[in-house]
Amino acid sequence: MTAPHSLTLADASALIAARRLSPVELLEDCLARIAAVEPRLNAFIRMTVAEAEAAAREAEAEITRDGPRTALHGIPVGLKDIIDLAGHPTTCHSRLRLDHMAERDAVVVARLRAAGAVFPGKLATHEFAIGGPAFDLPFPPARNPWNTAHHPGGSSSGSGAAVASRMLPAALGTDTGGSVRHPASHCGIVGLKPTYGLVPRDGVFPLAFSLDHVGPLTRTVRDAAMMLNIMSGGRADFTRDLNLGLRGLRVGFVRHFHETDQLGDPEMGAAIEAAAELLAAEGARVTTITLPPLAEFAAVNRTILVSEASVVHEEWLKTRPDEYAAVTRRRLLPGLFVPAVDYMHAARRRTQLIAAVEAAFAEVDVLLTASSMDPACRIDDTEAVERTYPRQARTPFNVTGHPAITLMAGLSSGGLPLSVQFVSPSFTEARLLRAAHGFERASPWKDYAPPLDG
Amino acid sequence: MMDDATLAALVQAAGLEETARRFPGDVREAVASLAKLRPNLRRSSDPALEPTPAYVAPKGTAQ
Repeated sequence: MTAPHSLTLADASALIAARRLSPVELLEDCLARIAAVEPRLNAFIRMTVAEAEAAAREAEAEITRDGPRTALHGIPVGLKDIIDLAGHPTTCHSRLRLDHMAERDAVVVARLRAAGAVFPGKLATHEFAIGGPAFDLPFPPARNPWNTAHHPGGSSSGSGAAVASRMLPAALGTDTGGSVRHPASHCGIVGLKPTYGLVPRDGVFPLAFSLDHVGPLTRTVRDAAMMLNIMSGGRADFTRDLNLGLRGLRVGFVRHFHETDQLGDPEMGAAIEAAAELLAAEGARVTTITLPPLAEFAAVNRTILVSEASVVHEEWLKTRPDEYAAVTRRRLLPGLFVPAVDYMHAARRRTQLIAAVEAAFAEVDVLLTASSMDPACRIDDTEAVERTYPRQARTPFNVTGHPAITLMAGLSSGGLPLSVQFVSPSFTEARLLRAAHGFERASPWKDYAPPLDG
Repeated sequence: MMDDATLAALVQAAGLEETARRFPGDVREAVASLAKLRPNLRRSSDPALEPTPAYVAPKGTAQ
């Protein structure tokens, strides 16, 4: 039998419902896995074992008595440490927040708790979800399970590392310029950024109010859909269309993002091309489509992001600048110099960029694009780490708010994950998940695991 | 490259004198990074183009 910690969320949930796996057994096996691999990965900032064990025991008793409340009953879920968990600090991976205490759960955590999920710990992030991997903070940066000398992506770095390494079946991340999808790309898992507003941000430390999204990181597309069912407050059953297949689906392939706007790594480009061919072989109608250039989306995203972040960080940047990691301080300071007129130009250009993507969706059902332009770089290569943040095609969909999902699409010659991204019209997550699941089912990559045990 | 007097004026307007004294390189880099960004920020001359998120009037009934 597969070790419980290696089960996908869906498989663990089915075994729990069938009384063949207890939540206590699942949690204890995950904790044993954490004890075995966490020292190499630094995915966790704080363990909340006693509370998680109590919750798992309660879940076990309730399920034995009444059956599971939901498909997440008894499932361990990790929380990026910018998301409030009542009774624990939300440090944002920063010494500026070491003395914080969350009085209540974030709304998304409350929904998961009500569904029966258990929370074994808070996960590493880039400081305030904007810094990079930093070595001058109270907590070390998370590492990539595929090669611990490499960057796991960020800012939801601990979430990516914890799920990919089979420490947890699922985790929450946040995504303002791609921060759920970046670690998913680099760690070879699934990262879903839902439509802006579908998942509430209450109780999540803000980076940029109009760009922030909360999303799940999981091993499979089905698991992401199951998480979204709860995170969205039961707005829909997002698993309903998973098995509809790809036949007839109109896919707009945005080649220029990685072929001309930026020149993607050849292996990444080949993986994206292979993904398009696989979709066509499965019956999708793949056509090339053109959107505005990546540089325009990036300029709008960056102008808005640093401006909105500046109101949160202004006081600390003036009075306690030395307490940030150097990389975080450098990323935040531009926000205090953006002219108001530039912010408004960015907000107005955003309207046009949204219209351009909406126009594309008049022709196709989903978009296929690059996510990252490169496989993960070494975490100690400062210049390469800096390059990883602009070399991507995720920020367009923070600007537009459309739902987007990243998943594994290959393995580089260096043994690091390659990835693709799907995007769909706002509030059509069921369609997005159908496309991603169709690709996942037709490709072998979801069964690949990091070589941590070798 | 921005001259020191202009940079000092911007720092003063932002209220970042102390931060600039302690981290002058970071502040200079912050200003320079925006200069690189601006050419890619297209500026519409359409006065009616609305921003996103939209400015929405509060809902209510006149009393």
